[in-house]
Amino acid sequence: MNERVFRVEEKSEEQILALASAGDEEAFAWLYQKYVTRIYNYVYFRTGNAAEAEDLTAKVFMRAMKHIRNYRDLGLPFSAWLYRIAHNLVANWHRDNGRKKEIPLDDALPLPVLSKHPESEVVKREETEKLLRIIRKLPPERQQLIILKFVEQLSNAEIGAIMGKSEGAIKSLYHRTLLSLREEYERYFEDFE
Amino acid sequence: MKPEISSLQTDNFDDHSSIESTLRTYLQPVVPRDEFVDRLRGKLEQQVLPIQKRRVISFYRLLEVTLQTMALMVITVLTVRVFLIILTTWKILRTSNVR
Repeated sequence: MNERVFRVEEKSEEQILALASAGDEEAFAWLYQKYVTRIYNYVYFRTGNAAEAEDLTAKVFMRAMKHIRNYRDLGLPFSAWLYRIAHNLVANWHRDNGRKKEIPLDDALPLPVLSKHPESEVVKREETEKLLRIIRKLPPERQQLIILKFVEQLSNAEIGAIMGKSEGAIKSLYHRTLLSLREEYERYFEDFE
Repeated sequence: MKPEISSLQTDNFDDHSSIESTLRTYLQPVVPRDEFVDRLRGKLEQQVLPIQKRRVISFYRLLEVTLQTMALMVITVLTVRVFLIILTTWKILRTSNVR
């Protein structure tokens, strides 16, 4: 099996995708390993809950595996297809949970940078929670843009490929997103004053 | 609930760069739990088997239907042939009896 994995890794992503589309489980496993963290991050920052992020990430890959045979390379990165699935599942999740109380960031969440000072970690967690609460007030498309840009650290061109827009459209959307983020931020703190 | 004065609040969002800086500071990638990643991989591997099994089953099902259809056609042809032979024989016998 290791030999097989090694051979898979020698191939380009297009070839691996073709293998996965033909039902090769090792090829799909390779794709899973490559994208699971990215999809998890996307779902996590859209839902703000680690348990939900795990559940939805699992659904994304289950659905991807079920439909990988129908995947056609249209010149977009494979991640765009996965993000589309994730985006739809998150939208369904928000619709189903719309009336429920807002879920705070999970305490069990492993923070990316571990500090020697637990207090500063707690403060940082709270700040992140506030910021995410503000971000989640934005339309889904803008939330997606922010997550892809700052969490996934993708370029405008890559984000454009994923979101099906031109680089110029992404730049413009990004500008509008920052403006509306500032407005939401101001409104958020005005509400408490 | 009134939030405490936070660094978010003290940041001056006068321009895009300050917002970007805040986003960069607080939105950092998280790592999923290893147990979750391994468990999901296991689940996906388990899902592959039924898919392959279903594919094999559907092949045998197709073969079965084809064979059944062919058998039905052979039986129909043979039945018609036997009927014709009986009919012909009966006609011959009848003609000979009339003479």
